[in-house]
Amino acid sequence: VKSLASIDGLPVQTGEPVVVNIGPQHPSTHGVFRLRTVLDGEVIIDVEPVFGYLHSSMEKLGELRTYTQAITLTDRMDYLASMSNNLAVCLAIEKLADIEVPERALYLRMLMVELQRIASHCMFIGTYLNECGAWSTPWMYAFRDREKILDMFEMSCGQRLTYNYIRPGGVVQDVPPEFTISLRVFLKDMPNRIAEYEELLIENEILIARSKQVGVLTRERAINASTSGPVLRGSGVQFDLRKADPYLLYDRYDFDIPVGQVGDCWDRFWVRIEEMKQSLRILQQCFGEFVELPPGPFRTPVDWVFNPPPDREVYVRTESPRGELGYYLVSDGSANPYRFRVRGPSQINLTALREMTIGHKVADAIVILGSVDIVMGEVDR
Amino acid sequence: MSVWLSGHEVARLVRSRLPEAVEEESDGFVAVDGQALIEVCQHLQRELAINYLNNLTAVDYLDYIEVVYHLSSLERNHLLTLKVRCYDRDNPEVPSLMPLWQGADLQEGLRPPPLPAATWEPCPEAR
Repeated sequence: VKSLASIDGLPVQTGEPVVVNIGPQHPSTHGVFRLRTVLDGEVIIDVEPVFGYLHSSMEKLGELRTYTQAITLTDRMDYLASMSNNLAVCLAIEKLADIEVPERALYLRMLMVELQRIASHCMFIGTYLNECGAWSTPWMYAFRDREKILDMFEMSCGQRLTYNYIRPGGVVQDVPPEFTISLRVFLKDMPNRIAEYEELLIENEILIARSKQVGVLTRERAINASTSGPVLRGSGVQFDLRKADPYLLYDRYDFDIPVGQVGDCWDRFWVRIEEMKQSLRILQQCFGEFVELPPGPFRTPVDWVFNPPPDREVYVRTESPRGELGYYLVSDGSANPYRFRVRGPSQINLTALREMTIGHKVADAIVILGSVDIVMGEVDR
Repeated sequence: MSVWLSGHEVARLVRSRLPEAVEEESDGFVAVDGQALIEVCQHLQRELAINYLNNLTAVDYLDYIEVVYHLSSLERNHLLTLKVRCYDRDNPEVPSLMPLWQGADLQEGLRPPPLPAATWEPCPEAR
């Protein structure tokens, strides 16, 4: 390996490169993930993401189950955003089988996936600050708010992690009255919580020192590497599928797409904080209409086992908290998909990791990986 | 709202540059000769501002293995589906798109390999 090490543009004394494996068992790898780094001193001169340790053949398992059964697999891919996964696969199934969704279900889905986005970004704030060296205090603050969302999910479907709530044709059941009360309180409190995060974090000297100009990904390279979500927007690309290809009721509501300017870890962090504010804007508008809705059907009756038309294929994409979550389903007319492909944003965002990491110190690699916000269940599937 | 380009429209455009490249077209997709894949994609980059590889996967049919590419233009908000079919099951080969889009890297080189076992030709930067 040819040594490329330099600090601030000045060549440094180089020795023999050393290969260091970070992971697969490492607290900062967000699961079972290995960064095979080549070091010159403390500077990374090459890095290779190695994954597959958590591979569980979910795509193949999806082909061996009915369309309804396959939803339970999606809960376990991106387990920090299970609602978003439920939604994406159900949208694909509904398009494949021409299933209509009642209006009340659209509102319930909107509420759930935007709450899920806030919960997922709370998790990001906790883990990211951990990786910057802040240990557990920000984590506890973020989990305080995430717990409130999980409480609401538990009221709706009895689960706190793997929901299986969104189903073909709608949702599995309507929300109870206490959900409405909790959401009203949450929407009143959460803007203050986000303001608290900003007050504590945005101007935090350590966070800025660890994040600014670290792991820069330019706009052109972000597009070329197929990154999506906050990684793409952090690099200054104003692209959000909720605006570009609206689904559910997103085209009815006002919200902005925050974008970064430099494409460094700081921008990816800031974009997620701003996205939480935008999700609250969407939730406030959506909830205002939802409480005025008369009671009505929350699900179009769909058989447990059904056969979509044969020789049909769909690619449906949604904006999950981590980026473009796409499902490519192929039907052969049987009760289970002929092909069940998941385009996982966590995995594809890792494409740019090498480019972001080379030239930085080992400690920065952990921060850069944290800023990509991967979930290994989705990377490996 | 994103616009899915019709397979016929894309096929017409490809034929204008590479008359022999199109193998099959339909409303939803265009299937092209694997040997012409890179040239087809370069043409689409120029003519349709295609700059983003959304998704890359393969489907194992009984007679052939089909590699499916979902491509889009972020500027124009257009999408299209491109396919390449490998009839030689013993030695399925499709050129890598890595020279055009780095986004193909982990999708082509998945470990364990993508199902089914379509193989990609090595390219300079592939691991």
